[in-house]
Amino acid sequence: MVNAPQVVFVTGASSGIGAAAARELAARGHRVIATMRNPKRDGPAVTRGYKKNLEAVRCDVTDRATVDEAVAFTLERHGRIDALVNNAGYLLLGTIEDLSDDEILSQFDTNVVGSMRTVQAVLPAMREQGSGTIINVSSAAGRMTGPAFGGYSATKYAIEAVSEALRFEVAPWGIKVVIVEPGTHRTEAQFDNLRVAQAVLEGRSLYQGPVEALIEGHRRYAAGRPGPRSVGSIIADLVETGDPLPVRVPVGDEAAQIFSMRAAMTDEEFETALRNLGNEGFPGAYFAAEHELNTN
Amino acid sequence: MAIDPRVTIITGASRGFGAAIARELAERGHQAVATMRNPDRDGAAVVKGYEGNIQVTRCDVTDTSTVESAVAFALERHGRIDAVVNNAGYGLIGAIEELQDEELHRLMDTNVTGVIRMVRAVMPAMRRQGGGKILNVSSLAGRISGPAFGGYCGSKHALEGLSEALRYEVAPFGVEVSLITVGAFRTSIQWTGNELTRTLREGRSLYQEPCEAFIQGEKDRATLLPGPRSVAAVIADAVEFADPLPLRIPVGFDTSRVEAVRAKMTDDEFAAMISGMRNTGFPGSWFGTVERQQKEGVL
Amino acid sequence: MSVAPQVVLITGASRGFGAVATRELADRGHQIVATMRNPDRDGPAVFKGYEKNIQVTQCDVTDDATVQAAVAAAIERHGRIDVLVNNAGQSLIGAVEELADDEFRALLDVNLVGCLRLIRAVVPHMRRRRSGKILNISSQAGRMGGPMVGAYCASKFALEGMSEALRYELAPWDIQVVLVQPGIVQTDHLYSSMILAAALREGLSVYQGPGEALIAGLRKDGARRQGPRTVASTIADLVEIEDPLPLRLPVSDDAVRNLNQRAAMTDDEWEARLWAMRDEGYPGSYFRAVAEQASP
Repeated sequence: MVNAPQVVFVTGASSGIGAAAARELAARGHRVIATMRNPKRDGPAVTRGYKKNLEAVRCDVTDRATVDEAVAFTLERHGRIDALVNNAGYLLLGTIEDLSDDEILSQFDTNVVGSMRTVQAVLPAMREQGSGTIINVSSAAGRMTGPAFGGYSATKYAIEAVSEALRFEVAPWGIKVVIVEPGTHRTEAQFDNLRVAQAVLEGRSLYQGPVEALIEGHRRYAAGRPGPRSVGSIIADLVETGDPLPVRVPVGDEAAQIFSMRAAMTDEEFETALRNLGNEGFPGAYFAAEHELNTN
Repeated sequence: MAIDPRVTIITGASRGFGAAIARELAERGHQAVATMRNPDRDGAAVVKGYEGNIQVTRCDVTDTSTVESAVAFALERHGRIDAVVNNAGYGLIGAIEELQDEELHRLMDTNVTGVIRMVRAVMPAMRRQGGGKILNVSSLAGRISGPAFGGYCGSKHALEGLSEALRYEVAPFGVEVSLITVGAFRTSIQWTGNELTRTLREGRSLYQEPCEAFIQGEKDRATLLPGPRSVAAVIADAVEFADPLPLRIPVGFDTSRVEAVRAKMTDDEFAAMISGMRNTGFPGSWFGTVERQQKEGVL
Repeated sequence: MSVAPQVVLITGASRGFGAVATRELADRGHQIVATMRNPDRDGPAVFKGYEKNIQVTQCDVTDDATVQAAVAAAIERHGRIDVLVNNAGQSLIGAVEELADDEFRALLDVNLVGCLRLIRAVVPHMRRRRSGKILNISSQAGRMGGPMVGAYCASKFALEGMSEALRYELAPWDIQVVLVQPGIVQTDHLYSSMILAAALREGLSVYQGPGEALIAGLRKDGARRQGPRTVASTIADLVEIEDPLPLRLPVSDDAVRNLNQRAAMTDDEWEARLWAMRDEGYPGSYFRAVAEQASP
C-alpha cells in the first residue's frame, strides 16, 4: 500500500511545514498538489527538482471558490485524492484585550474555517473512493496556551475539536483523520509571516513591554529550533501508514514533553510549571517582563 | 537562522536508520562520519550524491580498536565531534527459554556494550570540547516487552537504564544523552536485520508456530509502515537543537500513544490488553497462534 | 495461601536476601534447595537448625553444568520444583564511561544470563506439571537509572524486559513470572561483596570524588534502613500465595516511594528531583559532590 504513489493535496505549501511536507512526499514518489495563494511567486522554489510529481496550484483557503477549483483540478489531473494535508494557517501574537474583531475573525477564517472548507471540498471524492486520510496540522499550542498566545491557541484548540468530531463522522467511509502537533520549528511562521496585534505594532498596548519581550524571546528561541523537515517527514509517514491512525501525533521533543506534562499534571500544576519555566522564549520572556506592566 | 555544520558519527550506517540519518544530516549541510562493518561493500550507496558531507569509515561496535580508530578518523578529519548517534544493533527472535548463553551475550555485546565502547572512545574529546551529544537509538522495546522478542527487549531495556545513568554522569561536562524511542517503521530489520535463535532456525522450537506467526506478522505489517526517513529527520533535529535535550525523544506515529497507554495502566491491565490482542502483526499473531494451538491440544 | 509445603530452588543462598529467605521459607515448613558457589564454606550457617528443610547444593550460575546438576538433584530429591527464586546477583559501581568490556560482560553473565540458565533448566519440569513460579529478584534499579550504577541498572532493566516477555511466553502452562524490586537494603552487597570498576578501585576515575561519595551514601542508606528480612518475607509470601501474582512487586519503603514517584512524574520532573538532592544517602551524596566540585 505504501509503495503505490498517493495523491496528496497540501494547503499552505508556499513555505514552512507545508512546503517541507510537499517536498518530502514528492521525494518519496507521491503525486503532490502544493496549494498556495501565489503560485507564480512562491511555486518555483517549492517544486524545484520535482517537476514530474509536484505541482504548485493556486488556492486561498479563505476563498471557497479557489478551494473548489484546486480540488477539481486535482481530480481532473490524478482522478483521486488519497490524502489532504490541512496546513494553511498563521501565527498572530497579541493579548486577548488587544485583539480586534477583525484580527480574531481573520485568523479563525484561515486557521479553522479554511481547514473545514478544504475538508468539505475533498470529502465527496474520498467517500467515493471509500478511503482517504485527512491530516490536520495543529500545534503544541493546540494543547496549551499562555499570554499573548490566546488568539492563536483558540484556533488550534478549535482544530483539535473539529478533528475529533470529524473522526467519528467520516469513519464509516474508511476515511481517517489525524491531528499533527508540532512544537516550535524554525519556519517563516515565526519570522517574516509572524503577525502581531495592531495595538502592539502601534505601541499603544497596555501589555507593550511583556509582549515585545515575548516576541523577541520567541524569535530568538525559534532561531535555535530545528527546521520543518522532520514535521514534513512525519506527515509523509502518516500519508503512507496503512495502520489505523491515532487521534494525535506530537512531533519533536517539545511537543512530546508538553504531551506528557499535560497527561501527568493537573491544570493547576501545569499552570504553575509554565509560570516557573524561566525560559527565554514563550512564555518565560513574557513573565520575566511582567513587572513592566502598570498595575497601579 | 542558519545552523553551523555539525560533525556527527553514526554507527550501523550501512542501511536502514543509520544510512538515512547520515544522508539527512548531509542534506542539511552537516558532516557525517558514517561507520559500518564493511565500507567497501556498503559505503558507496550511502555516500552517493553527498561526497562532500559523508565520510565512510570502518567500525564494528563489538571491536574496541575499530571504534577507537573511527573516532580518531573523525577527529583527524574534522577536529571535533559534536554528536554520536549510537544506532548499530540487531534484533533476535526466539523464546527466552531457548536462548543460548552466547546468543544473549552476543546481542548484548552489540546493542549495549557497543554503545559503551563508543562512549569510552568519544568522551575524552567531548570533555575537551566542553560538550557534545550522545544520541542512543532505542525503541518501544526498551519500554515494553513481548513474547518471542524478549532478548531484544532486554537489550533495549538495558540501553535505557544505562543511558539514564550516563546522562547524570556526563552532564557536568556539558555532554547530553538522549534516547530516541523509535516506534513502528519499515526497515531492513524486519526482513534481514533480525536473527533467529538456533532452535528456531533449525525448526525444533517448542514455540515454532507462534514465533513463525510473529515473523510473518511483522513482515506483513511492515509493508503498511513508513520507512526510516522521519526517524532520520528527528535525529538530525536533535543534532541541531540549541536547547537542552530531554531524556527521551519519541518518534513514530504510534510511539506517544503506546507510551501514554502504558503510563496510564497498571502492569496487569496492560498485560491483559496485550494478551487480548489478535491483530495479524505483533503481538496478536503470537497470542492468536498460541490460542489455536491450545485448543488443538498442541500446547 | 497454600499450606502444602512447596519445593523452592533458590540461587545465591549463601548470603543476603538468599540466605534469609531460605531460612524464612524453612521456618514456614517448605523444602528449599539452597544453591551457592561454595557450600562447604557457606552452607552450614544457612542450613543449621533446618537440616530437614534445607538442602544446600553447589551451583555457580555462570556455569551451566552446575546449574543443570543442581536442578537435577532437586528433582531427584523432591520430584518437582514449585518455585524458582533467581536471586544470585552482583553489584558493579563505576561510571559508564569507564566500564571495561569484561567487567560489564561478567556482570551480565551473573545478573542476566545466570537467570536465563536457571530458567532453561527448570521450565521443562514446570511445563510437564503445568504449574510453577519464577521469582526474579530485580531491584528498584530495574526501573530507574542513576549515576555510577549504570551497568547494574542495565542488567536489571534487561532482566525486567526479559521477564515481561517470559511471562507472556509461559502463561499457556500456568507458569508465573514475577519481578521482586527491593530498594537499598543492608546486605553484603554494600560491603564485602561490593564490586568496584577498576578505574574507581584504583583511584584513577574521572568521577573519583562523586563516586566515593556515592558509595558512602549507599552505606548510609543501608545502615538506616531495614535489613533483608522484609525482602525475604515477601519472597516467602510470594512462594505461598495462590492468587495470580503481579508482574512487579516493589519491596521496602524506599523502593515503593521511588517507583511510585517515578511512575507519576515526567522524565524531566524526575531528573530535576534527583539533581536537587543533597542528602547524605543515595543519590544525594553523588549530586552534592558534583555540585561542590563544580563550584570554585
